Amino acid sequence: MTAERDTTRIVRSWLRADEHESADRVLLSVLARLDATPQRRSVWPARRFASMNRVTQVSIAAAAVLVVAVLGINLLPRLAGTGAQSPAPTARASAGTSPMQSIAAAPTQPPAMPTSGSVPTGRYTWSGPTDAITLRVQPGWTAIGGGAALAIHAATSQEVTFDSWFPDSAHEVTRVYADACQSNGALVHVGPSPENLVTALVNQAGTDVVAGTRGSITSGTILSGQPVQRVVVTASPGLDLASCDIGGLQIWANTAETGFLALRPNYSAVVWIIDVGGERLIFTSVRGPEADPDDIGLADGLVASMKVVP
Amino acid sequence: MDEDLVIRAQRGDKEAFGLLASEIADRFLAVARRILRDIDLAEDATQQALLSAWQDLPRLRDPARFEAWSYRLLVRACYAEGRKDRRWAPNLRLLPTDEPIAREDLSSVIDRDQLERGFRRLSIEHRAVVVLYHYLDKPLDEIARILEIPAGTAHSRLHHAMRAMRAALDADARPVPREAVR
Repeated sequence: MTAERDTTRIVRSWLRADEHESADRVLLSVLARLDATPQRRSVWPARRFASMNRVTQVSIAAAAVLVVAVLGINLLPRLAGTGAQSPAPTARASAGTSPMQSIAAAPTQPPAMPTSGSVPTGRYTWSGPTDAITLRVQPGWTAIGGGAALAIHAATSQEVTFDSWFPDSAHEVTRVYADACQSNGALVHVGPSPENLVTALVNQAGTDVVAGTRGSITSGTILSGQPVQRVVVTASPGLDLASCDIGGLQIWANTAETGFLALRPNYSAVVWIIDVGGERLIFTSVRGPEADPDDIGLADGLVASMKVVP
Repeated sequence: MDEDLVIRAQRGDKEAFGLLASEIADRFLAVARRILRDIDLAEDATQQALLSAWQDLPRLRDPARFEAWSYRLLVRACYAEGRKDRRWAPNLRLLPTDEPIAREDLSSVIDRDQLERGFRRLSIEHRAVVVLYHYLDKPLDEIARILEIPAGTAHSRLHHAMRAMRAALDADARPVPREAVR
């Protein structure tokens, strides 16, 4: 049996053992193609936006919305006659006058969630196999995981993430670890219903699970009245996470075991499970130990803004 | 990384980009080759990542983050190459024919074969985490930022990958085909 430390040593040695590779041929090819490869310019000066505080960013975003709205109103008569595309979601959301209402009423679906980078404020679509969810994204979120997830302060102790786990996708949840601490052990198959998943999470060793009552966050207009279950997952009190296989908890894995819901020490997760037409849609939000309550509020706000698009 | 070079390249200075690219190209190729286990695929991924870097540099908001950003482009290019339906190139290894092989050398050959097989069974996503962590010595938090995945997922991928590699090493030693060690 190879000890863990030996495996690390052998793998590191193996990765470093190969001969030096020269990329001269690739480099020459790239440089020869620069003239024929135009750069893609952003609409604002690089660097300046990143150093602004959030209030300033929000102000600029609001101003941009206003400019877009004004431009939209001014251009509308001309565009209307040219079969123009529907406007950006920010413009549509801010429309209140009659010329814009005709556009707002158009049955267009919001754009797909961006695959990376800072997500501009607006309503976006996450598509499932038969239904889609639209949700309104507030300032501060960055798209990660190819657009299947959003994050604030990613990979820091202030991290707040928001992930989608849809059936028939790379992020489908079909198995839960029997013991979240001993993740070298069994992965338990979970049936397809929300109740199946809640039961598996409640039965999981190593975690402390608080499951909300069915429909507890569906009051009002949220999700057009779809039933939602809310589950909060934290480490079992007194559990020494340093003794766990990964020094933290592993709650579940996708089928390919490339996507995981995992919690590092002092992290917690909120899981929303939604039954839409017999399909189980799952959303999770992982919160770091120093997560800002305002950022946590933004994650809750994403759920509150959700609508189901058949 | 020279931040001034990054800023100049952002403004379209090809010479500055050429200097930047020459600084990172060898390392890019080495990383891509270790992830993809194929020099042709690795060269394609490196080329694509460098061209993407040139195209999208004006959109990089913080020049100080050029390195992490460029590795993200490289790993994405590796994902794309890994998805292509190409056959792996034959992985032939020539060994000396007449000299007897010392026991430790034979063991090393078996280890390398087992490592190679075990590593190729990993998804590209898992391989990327292993290479960034064990070859580039990047901390997991930075790997999470590079790959744009939650830190917990980076942690889990590394754990699962290393568990699989350990299993590959623990697999029963198969008799080595005679022609392979002669």
